[in-house]
Amino acid sequence: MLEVAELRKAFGDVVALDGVTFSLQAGSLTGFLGPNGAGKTTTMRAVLGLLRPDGGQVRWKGSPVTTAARKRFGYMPEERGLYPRMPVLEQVTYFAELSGLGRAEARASAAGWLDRLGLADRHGDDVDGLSHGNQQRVQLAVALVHDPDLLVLDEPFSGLDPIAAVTMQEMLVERAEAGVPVLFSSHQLDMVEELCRQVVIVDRGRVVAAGPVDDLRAAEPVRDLVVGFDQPVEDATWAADLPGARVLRVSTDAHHLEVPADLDLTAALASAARAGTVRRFSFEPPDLSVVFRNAVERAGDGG
Amino acid sequence: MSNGTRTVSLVARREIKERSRSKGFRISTIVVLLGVAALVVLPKFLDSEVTRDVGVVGTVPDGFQAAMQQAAGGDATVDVRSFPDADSADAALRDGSVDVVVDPAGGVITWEQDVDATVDQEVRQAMAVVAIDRNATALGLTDAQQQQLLTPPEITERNLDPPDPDDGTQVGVAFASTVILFIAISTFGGFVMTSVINEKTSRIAEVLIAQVRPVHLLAGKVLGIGALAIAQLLSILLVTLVAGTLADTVTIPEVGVAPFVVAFSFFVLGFVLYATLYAAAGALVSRQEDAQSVVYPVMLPLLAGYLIALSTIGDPSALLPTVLSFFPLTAPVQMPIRAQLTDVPAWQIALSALICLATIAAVLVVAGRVYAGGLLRTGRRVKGREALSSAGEVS
Repeated sequence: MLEVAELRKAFGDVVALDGVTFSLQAGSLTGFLGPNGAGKTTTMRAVLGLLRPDGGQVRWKGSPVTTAARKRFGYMPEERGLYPRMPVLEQVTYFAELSGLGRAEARASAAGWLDRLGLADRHGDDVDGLSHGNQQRVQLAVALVHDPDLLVLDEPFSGLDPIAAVTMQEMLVERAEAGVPVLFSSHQLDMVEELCRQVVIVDRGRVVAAGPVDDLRAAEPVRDLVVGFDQPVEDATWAADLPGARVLRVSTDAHHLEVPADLDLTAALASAARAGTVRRFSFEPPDLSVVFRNAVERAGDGG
Repeated sequence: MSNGTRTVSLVARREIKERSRSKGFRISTIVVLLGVAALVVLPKFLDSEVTRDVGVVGTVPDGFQAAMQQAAGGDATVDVRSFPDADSADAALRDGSVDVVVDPAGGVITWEQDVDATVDQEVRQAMAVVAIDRNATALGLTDAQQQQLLTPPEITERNLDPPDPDDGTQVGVAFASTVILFIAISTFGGFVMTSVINEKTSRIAEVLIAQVRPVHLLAGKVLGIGALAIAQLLSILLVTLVAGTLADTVTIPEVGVAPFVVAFSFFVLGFVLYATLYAAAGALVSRQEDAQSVVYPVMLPLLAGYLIALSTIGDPSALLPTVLSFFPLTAPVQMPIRAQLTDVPAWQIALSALICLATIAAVLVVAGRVYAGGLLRTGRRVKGREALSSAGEVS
């Protein structure tokens, strides 16, 4: 539904976007990953029309984004974007009206979202009287209040306590299940892995990996090999027999290794069995964090 | 209602609500209104306090008290006290219990330091009346003859130009309205700038611009805060007229309605012009503390125009004030003065207003772009040129 094609943007000598290309499908919850300064926020701003790219295009349902279409987008910026001295309900209602809802409809929707986000008793409070987590909830309500067709969130989880983070996750999943493409940036890779079916990884203004998380993990040339023994085995010298293996961690009940994806598992199991009685033997694609690190490293070597 | 109009009115309504909710604004409005009322009523109390305390060395001559009363006017409180000698009279003069000491025998008028020309005139007149009276009696004139001697000639006055009903009031009103215009434009223009900077620093601008075109945001701000300014000005006017009528210091026929209409129209023009400039200036900075650096260039023409307008209030037809009443950045504070104190042809007022309008149109285009471009750039101060070139596609 949303296509980002060859976006380019430079601020003076600094190249922020160097041909960013990806697309979002209806109902997909997509994690937007990248080191600081990779161009995540700039890309999001270009999608929202907050800055004009030097080149490339953002397309919505096959055509360039119109002002009317943009009114139906929901956006949550990284930094707080709320009026400090304005009551919560009035504020969310105001943003709903700006996006085109009628007064009564806007108020009902604002109240509804605030209640769902656990702010039912804070309607009349000024925003600057709320905790950081509650301000984030109000910010989320602003992004959701007009039932947007596309949801873009910049670091929605930063600074949230675990309870608020769960609420946030539920809302994002729910919107995606309702058919809305959701794009959010984050540095919490484990959470992204758990939450998102697909990710887009950017570095230095370029997409260095994109697609379903499982595919990306499977495409890595390495695997996580975990071997557990019935008695603690002090060292992992047995692993020296495995070609290309690297010992990551030796704990009391298991040895964690990174091995080539094409490892001969039968031979590997035989090597492990020589060190002790094997109780556990798992061969899995690596975590998203490995995918992320490798993608960024490969891009760095290439450039 | 089109989408844009609706957005503008939503933004304007929010500005009005937020301002009128602020305690500072409410208090300052009340203080201003009380101050205006006090200024209007004050002359009443100042005027009513005419007192004349005159010390006389030796016996007070017959008829001096009456002559002094007549000279000072019927409303004045005249107190004439007799002192046995010059020393005691001088002592009373020094301690302030009398304003002036008269020695009728020696023909001396004594002051503590400066001569009060009005009182001096009155005392001399009273002494003359007493002297004439005494001399006439010495000459043996009858009362009727004395009366005849003192009858003044009949004098009528004529004016080549019809007299100004009350020049003092005209100048006073012109002065006051210029001060109020200047304060209102800079205060409410400043509000627009503060509002822009606040939205920028709190990053609300980012959420807003994702939904709303910058030009609508700008228009809504200027209209909303402008409506508040007009409401405040109208209350000032109302208080002036009500308090002035009650205290009998200002009357509408005396001043006329036209000056208010001109002043009001130029306030609207001046406010829109400067508010737009202030908004563009505000979009260039990211912190309230940096506001000073961008506010001066905007403020300077207004301040200069204001000072020149006030310093030439005695001669508003001179070349400089005349030229400045057509220059769009100074016209809002200069034209109302000229229009009130001199006979400015209507076409000149209309021309000046048109020049202002054309300038506003041009400024809206440029400042609107600067505003849109500067709004989303944070960190160091943005240069006007950068802001112009980086306006988002939504502008």
